[in-house]
Amino acid sequence: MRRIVVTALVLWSMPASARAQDSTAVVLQQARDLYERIELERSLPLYRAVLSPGWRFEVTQAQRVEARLYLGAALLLLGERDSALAHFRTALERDPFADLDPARFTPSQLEAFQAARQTVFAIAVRAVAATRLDPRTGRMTFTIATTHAAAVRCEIRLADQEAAFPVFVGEIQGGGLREIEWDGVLPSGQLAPSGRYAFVLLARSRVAARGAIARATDSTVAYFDVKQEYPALEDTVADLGAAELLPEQYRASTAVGDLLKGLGVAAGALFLANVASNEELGSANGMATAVATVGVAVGFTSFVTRRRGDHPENIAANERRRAERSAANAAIRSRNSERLAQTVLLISPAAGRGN
Amino acid sequence: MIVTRAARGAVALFFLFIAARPAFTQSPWTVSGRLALVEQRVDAGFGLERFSGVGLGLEVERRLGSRFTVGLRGQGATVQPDAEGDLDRRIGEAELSAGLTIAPWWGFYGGVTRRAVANDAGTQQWVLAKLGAELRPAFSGNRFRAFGRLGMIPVTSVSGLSSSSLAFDGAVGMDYDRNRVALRLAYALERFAFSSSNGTRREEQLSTLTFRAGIRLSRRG
Repeated sequence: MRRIVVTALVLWSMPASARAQDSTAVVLQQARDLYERIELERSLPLYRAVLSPGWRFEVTQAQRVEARLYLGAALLLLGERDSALAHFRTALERDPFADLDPARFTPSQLEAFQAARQTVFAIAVRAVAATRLDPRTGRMTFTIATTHAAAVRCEIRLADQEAAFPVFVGEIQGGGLREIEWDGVLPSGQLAPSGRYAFVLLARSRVAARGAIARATDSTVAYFDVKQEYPALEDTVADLGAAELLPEQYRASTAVGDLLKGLGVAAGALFLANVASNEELGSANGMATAVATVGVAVGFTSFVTRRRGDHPENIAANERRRAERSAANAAIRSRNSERLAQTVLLISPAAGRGN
Repeated sequence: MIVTRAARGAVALFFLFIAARPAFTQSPWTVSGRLALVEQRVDAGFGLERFSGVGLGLEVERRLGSRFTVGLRGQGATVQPDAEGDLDRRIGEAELSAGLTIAPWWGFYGGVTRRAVANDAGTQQWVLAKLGAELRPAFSGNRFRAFGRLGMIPVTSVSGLSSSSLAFDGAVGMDYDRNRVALRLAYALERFAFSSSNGTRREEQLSTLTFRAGIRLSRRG
């Protein structure tokens, strides 16, 4: 009694915030010490005080579970088996991962704890640990627990979608832990896209039908974020626009213009020979005629050719440009594919569906 | 056909120049060979004399930026008279020319020509300065170009003759340009009128039909 009073005085003298966090831990440590010294009757009030609604300090989930386990263990040693089982059940309901260390507890306590497992059905998924997953070589692990034998189905789905895919369907014999692995790949073979995901655990008790367990099914969800990480990708080059391509058709005036230019050469040659030259000296009409003939021939040929409309040089040039652009984009896509093949998944725990 | 030593030399120099150039990328230089039909008509107060023949020449051009072109041309020809008894003439000339492109289809040209007209009796030296405008409209496809030029010859200095009272030149032709090859067919006319001190009027006219084949040189790297 004097120890409790001293403890209360020590706690009262601590700052309020520290008291709130540490006072429960201090009391639990004292209770554990008493338990270890087999001073069971003196440890019980401390555990009960921590669990009582009147306890003024903050109690974490883990502290609450610990208190229940030690309370149950102490009561069992004191011959109060039913009360002990009740506390074990409550601990398991709060935390299906709860267990007794065989090195620190007696076989009768372990047996009673296993008996309590058979009378309550609870499941849990351990919070996802942050990890960097290389889908080519690595796996991420989800740890699940059931209090006793159960049929389970583990699914993963995008948090904002209904469609899910199973990663494990089967039995957990006798309850306990099980690790479920996932390589970050969807059933389609694609890498999981970035986003928030939910790991859903659905379970049905295999014992409920035999015993008096009110709740035979349970479910729980653990959320986690996936972010794809890969080297920066290159943008492909946009398709060639009209401004970047040469006209592939001649205008109607082009053919006429070429004919007029050819005729202009002929007219110029004849002008030089017959008008600009010295009339008294005469002129070299043969030379002028030769040039005029070539001019008319080129003009007429161009006229006939261009009237068909197609501009073969420009068409060929445009095809070259398109081929070059296409080749450049193919090379970019190839480089991007190589980079995407290096993608790793950054996994981090999350709470809830998110945005 | 008799070809002057100057013409032979020009042709030899042309092929030597082409063969000696190891070339890979295009340079601003163009080297051309010329084959010309030459006709000279002269009336020095004794009736019309007409000489005609074939000439060969070499031309080197260099682009200076996008607007200027300078060139050096050498040509030699031997022309025979139509009339019996006249002596053959040898015409050799060298011309330094320049061109200014105002737009792709027109510009200005100018040049200084040194010409020697010789026969077995003597040699007449000519110095000409030309200036004019040139049209160069392209046909669609840009391989063919028409060209026409007309200019005056404000400086005409001929040994033994007074300055020319009238002198102009003009030319019309077609250019073909593809890859590194440049071809030209041109008809050119030079017309002169001289008045001598004794009142006799001398008129001359030189017509040429030239086929020019050139190649744009390339350079390493």
